[in-house]
Amino acid sequence: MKTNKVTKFLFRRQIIGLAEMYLFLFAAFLVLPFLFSAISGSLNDYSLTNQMQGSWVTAAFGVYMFVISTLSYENFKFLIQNGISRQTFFNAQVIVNGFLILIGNTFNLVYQYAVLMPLGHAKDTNIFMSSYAGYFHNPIVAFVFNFIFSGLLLIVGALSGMVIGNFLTLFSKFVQRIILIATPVVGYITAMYTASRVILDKNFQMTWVANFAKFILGYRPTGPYDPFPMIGTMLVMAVILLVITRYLFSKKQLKRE
Amino acid sequence: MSVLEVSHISKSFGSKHVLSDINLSFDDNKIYGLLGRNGAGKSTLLSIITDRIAADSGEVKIDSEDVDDNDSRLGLMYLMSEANLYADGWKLTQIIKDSESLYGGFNHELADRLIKEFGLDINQKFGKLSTGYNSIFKLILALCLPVKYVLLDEPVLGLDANHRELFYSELIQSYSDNPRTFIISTHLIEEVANIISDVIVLDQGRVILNQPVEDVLAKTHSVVGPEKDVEQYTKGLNVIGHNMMGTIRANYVYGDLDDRILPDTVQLSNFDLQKLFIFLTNQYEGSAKNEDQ
Repeated sequence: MKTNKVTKFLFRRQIIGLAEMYLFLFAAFLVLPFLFSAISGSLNDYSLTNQMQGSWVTAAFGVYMFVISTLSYENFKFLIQNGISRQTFFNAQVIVNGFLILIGNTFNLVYQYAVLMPLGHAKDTNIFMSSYAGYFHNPIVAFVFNFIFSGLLLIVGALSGMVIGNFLTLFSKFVQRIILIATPVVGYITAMYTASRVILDKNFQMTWVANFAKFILGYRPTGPYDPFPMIGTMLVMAVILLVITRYLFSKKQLKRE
Repeated sequence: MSVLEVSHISKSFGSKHVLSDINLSFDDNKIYGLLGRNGAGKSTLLSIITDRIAADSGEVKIDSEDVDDNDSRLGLMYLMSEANLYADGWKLTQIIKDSESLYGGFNHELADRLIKEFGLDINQKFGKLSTGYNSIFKLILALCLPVKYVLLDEPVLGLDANHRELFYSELIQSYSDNPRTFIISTHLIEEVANIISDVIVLDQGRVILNQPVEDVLAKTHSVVGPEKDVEQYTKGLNVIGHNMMGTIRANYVYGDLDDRILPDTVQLSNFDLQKLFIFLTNQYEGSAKNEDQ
C-alpha cells in the first residue's frame, strides 16, 4: 500500500489550494475595498474591523472543503497513471480531508474566539453558538462541543461533496450536465408542489416531517436546543456517506474523452 | 521470472463487443508488438491490463496476483498512451517528482540525456506541449520509471521521422541496459518489425495471432509465377492473399509447406510482417462474415 505517499501528494496539492483561496479572499475582502476607498478618497469610511467581522472567513473553509471534495477526477487520472489503486486513493483522500478539517476547524474556532467575538461583541458566530452553546453551562465544555459540532458539520459537508463528485464522475460530461441542470429543476418543482399542497390541502400536512426535523435539530420549546440528536445524526450520516463514497471510488474509471 | 497473464477478458461498450475472451501471457524481458486495425481493441486491452477501466469479465494477473485494486502489481506497470492523464497546468518537473515519489524511483541520468537529445523544455507546463513533445515527455517517463512492464500505446504519435528514429534507438538501448517487458501497440508495423520479438494480432476483439516474430516469418511464403503453376503448387495450402501482375500471380501462404516439388517456373520467398498483418486481418473479416452466414 502506498497510502503515505498518496496522502502526502494529495495534502500538498490541497493545502496549496487552501492557501491560494485564503490569499484570494483576503485580497478581495480586505485589500481591494481598501484600495477602492483610497482611490475614491473615502478612506475614512474604510474599517478593517468591519471587514474582518464578515462571516466569509469561516464560511470559506466549508465551501472550499465541499468544492475540493467534488473534484476528484483529476487526481484519479494522475494516480491511476502512476499505478495507484482506487482503495489507496480513497484511504488517502479521507485522511487528507480529515487533516484539512482539523486544521480548518481549529482556525475557524480560533478566529471566532480571538477575532469575531472581541471585535463584534457577539456570541452568535456560528450555528452551534447561536442555537446550542447555551445548552452547556460550562464555557470550556461548550467550546469542546463547538469544536466537535463544527467539525462534524464540515465532515458531513465534505463527504456530501465526495458523494456528489464521485457520482458525477461515473457519467460522461454530457450526462453530467443533464444531471446538474435537471436536479435543481426537479428539486424546485417538488418543493413548490409540496409547499402548495401543504398550503392548499388541509389533509396534506406532513406533520411527521416537521416533528422529525424538530427531533433531529434538538428543538426544545423553551431554552437552547439540545445538540446531541444533531451530533448523533451527523455521525450516522458521516458513516453512511463514507460507505457510499467508498463504493463510488471502487467504480471510478477513465472516461473516453 | 515474472509473468503478466490476461485470462478470458471480455469488454463491451453498449452493444459493441470490443474484446471477446482474450487470453494472453507476457513473459519477462521480451518486446511484444500488439498489432490491430483501428477499433480492434488494442487500447481497450491495455487500459484493462493497467486497471484504468474494468473488464466485463476475466482477470489480469502478475505473478498469479490480481492487478485489480492492487498497488503492488499496478506499480509494476506504466502505460504511455494518447490519453493525457496529467493536468494541463502542472509543470513537467513537478510531474516527474510526483511520479518518482509514487513509483519509488526514476532514472534521472537517462532522463537528462533524453531531454537533451529530444530538445524538450522541461520547465514548461504539460498543457503547453505540442502533440509531438507531449508524446516525447510521456515516453521519457515510460523509459525512466522503474517498472517491469512498459506498455506503449501508439508511442510515436505526432513525432517527426528524426524523433521516431531516435526513440526506437533509445528504446533498444534502454532495453539492452535494463531488460524488461515492453508491449508496443502501433499501426506502424514496418517501424517496429525489427524491434519486437513476439507479435500479437488483434482483430475484431479477438487474438488471431500470438507467436514469436521469427516463427511467424518462417511460416510466410510468397509463391510467384505463372497463374496456373502457382495455383497448382499452392493447392491445399493456407493461401491468405494474392496479387495479379498481368499473367503473373503471387499467392501468399501462411503455414508450413509440405515436401511438394517446386516447379522451375515458380519462385518462393518470405514476405514481411506488414503484408501478413494486412492479409490476416482482411481474411479474418471474410471468415467472420462466412461464419455469420
